[in-house]
Amino acid sequence: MRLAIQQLTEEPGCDHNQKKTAEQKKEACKKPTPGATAGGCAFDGAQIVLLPVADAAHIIHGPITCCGQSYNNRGTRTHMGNLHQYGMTTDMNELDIVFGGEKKLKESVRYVARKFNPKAIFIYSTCVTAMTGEDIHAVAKEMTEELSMQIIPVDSPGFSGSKNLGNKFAGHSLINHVIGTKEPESVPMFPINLIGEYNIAGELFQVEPLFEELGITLFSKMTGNATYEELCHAHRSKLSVVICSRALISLARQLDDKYGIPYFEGSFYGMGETKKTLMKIAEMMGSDLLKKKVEELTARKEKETFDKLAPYLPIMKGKKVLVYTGGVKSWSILKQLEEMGMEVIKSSTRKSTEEDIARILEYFEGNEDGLMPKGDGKTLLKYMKEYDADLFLAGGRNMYNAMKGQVPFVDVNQERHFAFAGYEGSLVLAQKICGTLTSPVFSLVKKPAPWEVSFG
Amino acid sequence: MVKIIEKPLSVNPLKKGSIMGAITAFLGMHRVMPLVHGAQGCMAFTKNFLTQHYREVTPMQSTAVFDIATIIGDDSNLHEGIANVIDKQKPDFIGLVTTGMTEVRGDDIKGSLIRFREKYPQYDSTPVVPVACPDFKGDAETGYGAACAATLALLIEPAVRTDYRTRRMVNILAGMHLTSGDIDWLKRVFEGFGLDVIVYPDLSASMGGQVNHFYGLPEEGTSIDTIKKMGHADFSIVVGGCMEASADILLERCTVPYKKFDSLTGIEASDELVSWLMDYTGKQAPGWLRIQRQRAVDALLDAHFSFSGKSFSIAGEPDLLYGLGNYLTKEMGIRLETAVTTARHGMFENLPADNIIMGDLEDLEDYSKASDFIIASSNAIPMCHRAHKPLYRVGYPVKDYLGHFHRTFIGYYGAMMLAFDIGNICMTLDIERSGH
Repeated sequence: MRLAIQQLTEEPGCDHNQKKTAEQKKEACKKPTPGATAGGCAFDGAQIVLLPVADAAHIIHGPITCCGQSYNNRGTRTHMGNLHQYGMTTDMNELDIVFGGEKKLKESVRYVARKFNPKAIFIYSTCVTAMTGEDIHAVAKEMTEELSMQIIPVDSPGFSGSKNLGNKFAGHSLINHVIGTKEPESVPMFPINLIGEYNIAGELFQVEPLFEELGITLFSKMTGNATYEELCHAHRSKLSVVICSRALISLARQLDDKYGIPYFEGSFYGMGETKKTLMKIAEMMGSDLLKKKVEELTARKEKETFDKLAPYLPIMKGKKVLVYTGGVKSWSILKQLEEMGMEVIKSSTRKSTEEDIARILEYFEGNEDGLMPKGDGKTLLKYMKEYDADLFLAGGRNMYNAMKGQVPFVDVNQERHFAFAGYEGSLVLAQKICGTLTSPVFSLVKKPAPWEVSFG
Repeated sequence: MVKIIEKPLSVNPLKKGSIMGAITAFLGMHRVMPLVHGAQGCMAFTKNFLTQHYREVTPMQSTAVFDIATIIGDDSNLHEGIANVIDKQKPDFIGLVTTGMTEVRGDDIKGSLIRFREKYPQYDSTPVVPVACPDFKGDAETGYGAACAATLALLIEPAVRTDYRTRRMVNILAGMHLTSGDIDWLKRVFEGFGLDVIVYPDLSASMGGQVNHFYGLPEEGTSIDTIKKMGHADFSIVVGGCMEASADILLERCTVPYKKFDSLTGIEASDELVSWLMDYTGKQAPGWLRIQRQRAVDALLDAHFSFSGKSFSIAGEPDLLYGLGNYLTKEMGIRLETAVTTARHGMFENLPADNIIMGDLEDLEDYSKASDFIIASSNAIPMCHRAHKPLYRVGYPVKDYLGHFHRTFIGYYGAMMLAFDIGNICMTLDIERSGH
């Protein structure tokens, strides 16, 4: 376990590790500050990656908090099953901790296999079960044989690190226990792996039709709207496209090492990035026909989208935005906003790789004032005021900070119900932005109450 | 007879960890920082959960126990966490919530806090209230009760002189099941009888939306100065079994007597409270309260046609479950098929249900086949979709419904509103079933 963590935190494909000295590398994936943290733990991260696989069951081996406070909470959408809506946990009690919970875990696996007949079962270790030394690998092995069903261990004790490290744990389980365990009946012409797209609010559904039209097959989607079966086939794809760069780059690299599948990082936020990503796929597939098709499709879609955007563009023109999000979104969404005529005043660099940061800087033409480190609600609201920003774009955790500051806000993270990817998504984003910018509520709340009005 | 369904795991848990209850209690106190001692997920999950429930900023922090520190189990994360919180947020006090992980590791929190005080005398003016919240034991209401009791135990000033007491001051020890609407109703009733109240903790003030500016610490809940003086009150009212430990502390340490109300939901439960208030103050009930009772009675009469022949199932923490279950069965006359709960405290075992189960929402799904509607948190949405049954949302969390925290479920007003809400669900079913 310890070794695995070390390997994962020293991921060479993670570009922020490439330029580091040995000393720096040891500190890779930084330790959080007690009393001043934000964000989830490694277990949270592992679950984010794997839970969208809805024809597989997910059993959390630990006491109640890990599941009881977290299930049924993510905006992932799928047509492939409904097990992502279920929270399953061994709900360890005191006796289980004293006498060990492996027997309970095995019974749980049998129960879930019998009652839900899933395609596979992921079992997650958590802080408590990792500390008491429960061997989920042995349980998984034994149960796989007994039930003739794939039982996959996921080492994910929360204390091992951040959400980002947990993403990697999940990738580790996929590469070691899932990918390559089955062979597909046939392989289409242009099969690709889409890594790190979890179909939040249905974003995958917004880009799937583009791939269909181009004749590119999303052969293995990791893991939005995925079936367990297609994950097993990922080794037969010709190309991996990594969407959320920082999280699962290690998985893409291992697919490259092990099966010779090249990879690149792309994004579907904004029309420009969507086109770039599709074009890169066509290039890497080495098909001129595909390139031509991408050119035609994106030109047509761009025109359609700009036509539809027409009523919104004047409202957004020149408006100043503060962006507080993580990873790939911290630069790709900037370009999406720019396309629609908005001006970003600052973007956050938390959870961003060196490369992400370089891309943000590119947007700001090298001006480091555009970079914003991790900040609490108070700091963010201070920036809003200081820069006279019109709109705050961040995750749901900041939504109520924004409402307390009484500033227009759009939620761009995981719990939202609106999807912002591809062409369709740009239109939705414009609608949401204009909705909050033009809402009468913000002028109303600035009106003083009758008892606050001074007379004379 | 409480049933426990024999199964090795929990599917769609009803139970929330005691951590969540303890943090909730602290959110009802003025300028406290809840600090969760554990991996950062325990805090992050809970923050997410409560932010979505209240639709408010929910300040809390974590000691972010990390890898090496987990195995060695030294003081550093805890001490650093406390120091950082004090430096950055300057809270009036810290609610230190332990987790399953630190409890399994066997952390000596009290010893560690003594070492903290020795090492950092500059932080002496900020009290730290430790609450043991092993999430392998108890449920959210357990954690809520424990946090309230621990805070009182550490902070109250002993009332040695009884002449501090005035007959006007009453502590309302508010259980976790109470909404902002409930607490507001209680305040108004007690005021109506000429009493001053301390509501402890006061989530209505802190999480009810009245704080219109940004805050880094919860504001306007029960303040530390108020908590210190709770021992000077003349009487305590306990609403919900989980607050009994707090009442006991006030009784034992400050000789403040108390009266416990297991439920304030429904006409009879409200009558019991009002009778007690009339006895205690020697005053008549105010006119508006009488009108509320008349309206509640009228509402029940109007709605009762659709109640008959209906049945329901309910899931929730014990205090929540008992009040609602009791009102719907005994005063509305609706059959209770199954009640599912999470811990063994309070009065829920007395409910006239076909099944009383210690369990989860899977049990609720399996044992509510004959029910016309379901009462549970928004976590029951998928199961209600599957079973095509209406869901009446109560408890924690309610994520998909604005204003839930301002609905009133207690008192005559709550009785009226529940008669309407449940009546509307039943009437809609009648209309649908009659083929319209």
